[in-house]
Amino acid sequence: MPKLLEVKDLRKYFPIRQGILRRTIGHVKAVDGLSFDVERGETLGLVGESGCGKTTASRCLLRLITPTSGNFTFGDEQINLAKLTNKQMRPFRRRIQMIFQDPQSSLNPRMTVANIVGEPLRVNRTVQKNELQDRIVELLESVGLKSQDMRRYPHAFSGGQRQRIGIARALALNPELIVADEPVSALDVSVQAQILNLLAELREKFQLSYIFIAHDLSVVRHISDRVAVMYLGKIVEISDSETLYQSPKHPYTEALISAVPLPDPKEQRKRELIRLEGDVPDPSQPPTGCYFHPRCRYATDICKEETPELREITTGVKVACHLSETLELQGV
Amino acid sequence: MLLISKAFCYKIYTYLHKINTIGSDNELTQNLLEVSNLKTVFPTDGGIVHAVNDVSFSIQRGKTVGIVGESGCGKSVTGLSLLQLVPTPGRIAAGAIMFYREETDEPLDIAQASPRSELMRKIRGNEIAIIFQEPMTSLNPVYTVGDQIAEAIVLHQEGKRSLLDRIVMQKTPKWARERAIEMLSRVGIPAPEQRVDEYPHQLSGGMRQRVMIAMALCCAPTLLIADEPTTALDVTIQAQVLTLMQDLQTEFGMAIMLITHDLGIIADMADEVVVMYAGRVVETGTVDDIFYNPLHPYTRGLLNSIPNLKGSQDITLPSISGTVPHPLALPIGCSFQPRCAEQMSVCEQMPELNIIDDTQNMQTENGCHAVRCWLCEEKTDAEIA
Ligand SMILES: Nc1ncnc2c1ncn2[C@@H]1O[C@H](COP(=O)(O)OP(=O)(O)OP(=O)(O)O)[C@@H](O)[C@H]1O
Ligand SMILES: Nc1ncnc2c1ncn2[C@@H]1O[C@H](COP(=O)(O)OP(=O)(O)OP(=O)(O)O)[C@@H](O)[C@H]1O
Ligand code: SF4
Ligand SMILES: [Mg+2]
Ligand SMILES: [Mg+2]
Repeated sequence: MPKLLEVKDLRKYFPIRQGILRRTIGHVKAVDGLSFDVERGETLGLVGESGCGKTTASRCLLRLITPTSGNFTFGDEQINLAKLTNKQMRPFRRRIQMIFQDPQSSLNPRMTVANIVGEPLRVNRTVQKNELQDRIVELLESVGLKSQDMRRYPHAFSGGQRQRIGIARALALNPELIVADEPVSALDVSVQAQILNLLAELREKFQLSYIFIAHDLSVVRHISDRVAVMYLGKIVEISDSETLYQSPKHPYTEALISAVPLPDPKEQRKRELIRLEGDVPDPSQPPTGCYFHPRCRYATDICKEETPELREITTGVKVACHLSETLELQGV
Repeated sequence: MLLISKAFCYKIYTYLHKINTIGSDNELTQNLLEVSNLKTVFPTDGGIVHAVNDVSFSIQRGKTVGIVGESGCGKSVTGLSLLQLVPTPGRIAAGAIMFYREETDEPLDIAQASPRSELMRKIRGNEIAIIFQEPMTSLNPVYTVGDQIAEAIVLHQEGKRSLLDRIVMQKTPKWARERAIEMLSRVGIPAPEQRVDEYPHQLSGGMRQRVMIAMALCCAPTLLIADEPTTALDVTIQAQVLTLMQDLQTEFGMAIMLITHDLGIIADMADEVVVMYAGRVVETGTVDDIFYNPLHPYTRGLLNSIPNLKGSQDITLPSISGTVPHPLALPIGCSFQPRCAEQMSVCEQMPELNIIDDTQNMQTENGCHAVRCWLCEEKTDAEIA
């Protein structure tokens, strides 16, 4: 059976323009050759630091923006969505939905909850008029809201409840894939757990697949079957989450894991911390060779010159590092 | 009512006293600041918001106190109260903030000081410094970072401005600029001689936060209040900034009041922890008390609901039901009551903050474990009797 989503060498370059003539003087390589796939019913976590291209990649997949190059095929039909026109895209739009970080700004403040959740149903005319109400109630209940909430406006809800409204809207058209961009980052810890549980429950109930984007590595580990780590527009490591966290194979993954303070004081005191020097480089002027080499404590001469390819080193574990076979890296 | 409050005052007194006397021969474990029964309120159209409600805790010299709690529980307002920086129309309505200053034996009650007094101005920056989450809002975009650090140095050491500086009216005296470069390199900014002449927008978020720390530390304060200093930063940069704060604490011996909602950061940095909920302290103790012997259902719920980088990967996370109450519609009695799995009828009355003498606590040389929950009430009443 084909994968639900197969992405091959996806790129998105944003031009940097200057002067009165708006001449292009360079490019921000926001997404620079991503390849990965998502199976049915699977959750793929996408982690990486600010500006590494997570949001840009997801906007490409939803075709909110057109990728500069690369392909991605979706569904049993294996249609390449990267090249479709807006009109050709239409039947696919309902099958891939998005949940945003900030429910506040993604919900129209002047619309009632019923209108927000019902809008995609009305636009796509998927249900009869007399069934609309029932469907909205059903959706609200599946995300833990009540039917009385229908007539209220977004401002009357807490952050967690607003996120539930956003999830109900995303579910309205029975999507196959949901791209969730930092869906719990703006929420309080106690509410975050509720939303994570809800997402896991809905995944079972509706056989959903998720691409789950977050910068919090603990959250990603909890929800994901597999995890991809991004750095400067590229995937540096991808494998099942247990393996990735227990025995990372890329020095950047190792450093990321080490940087997360564990909520366990004794454990934390014992840990040997790897401190990364410097900042993430500017994506319009990435370093030569391995993009990570200026901050990498294992870098050798070859790292400065040759860009490592993402290659499978053991079954299901792909790494882009020249030295991954020889390095002994530390996990959690 | 009077009786209760009297008993309560006694408890708070013993609580503070206990901290203060243990190891009083050792300079390092002495209290620098004692907050007791602090109330800070905001009159609003809908009524009075009790942002900080009857909060007591203390900060020892050279130690780190972590303040943790969810959005809106009053962490920032507590921090601002300690500097008399509560934004209008807010004000400190009751309580004491005893500050044991270096040069005097008698503590100063900051809660009684006027926000605009000369005294408060001297304390701010010189003795107590504060850094915020988003450094961009506290840095002036039109001045170079060097000028801003130098300004802070000059402002607090006006006496040192030489006659020559005054005559020439240099904006930045040379010595202050040199000191600014020194501070920049101290907080780990590469090429400080070059960075000193750059503007805030030319620096990354992590570097801006380092500049803020440099500014805060240039006058060697005895207390640094850090309000979510790394929340806007990436984890690898956060690790750099936290390590920097730890190193500087060892070097300068300042106390840190670290405000955060991240329990990982608390575990990493704090000696003592104050857990807040809806404006009140619900539990306080050493970092080990809080993590290995949490007694308040809210503290337990928080600890259980964070997904772990290690350990089991269960499908469902134990979560706390419901949401934080609105500050103008607090439940009667214990504020956590509607969300609490252990809720009993007595919870419709407000429990006191009770000291717990548990084994965990005996082993650590300082601090004490206190909980505001009816589940812990009985035991201690018996002990007190
Ligand atoms: N429309 C745009 N025009 C130009 N550059 C852009 C545009 N959108 C994003 N970028 C740049 O592309 C890079 C990747 O941005 P993106 O928002 O995808 O990162 P991210 O991984 O989602 O980061 P964050 O964790 O901060 O959300 C950044 O350097 C950003 O400045
Ligand atoms: N200027 C103000 N006017 C009215 N109410 C205010 C004002 N500032 C704060 N409050 C109220 O005081 C309470 C505590 O706010 P505070 O900013 O201390 O929360 P916090 O714990 O720092 O939250 P966060 O984690 O979101 O920063 C909140 O209920 C808030 O609504
Ligand atoms: S390729 Fe070299 S520089 Fe890049 S991560 Fe591996 S060891 Fe480090
Ligand atoms: Mg993003
Ligand atoms: Mg705050």
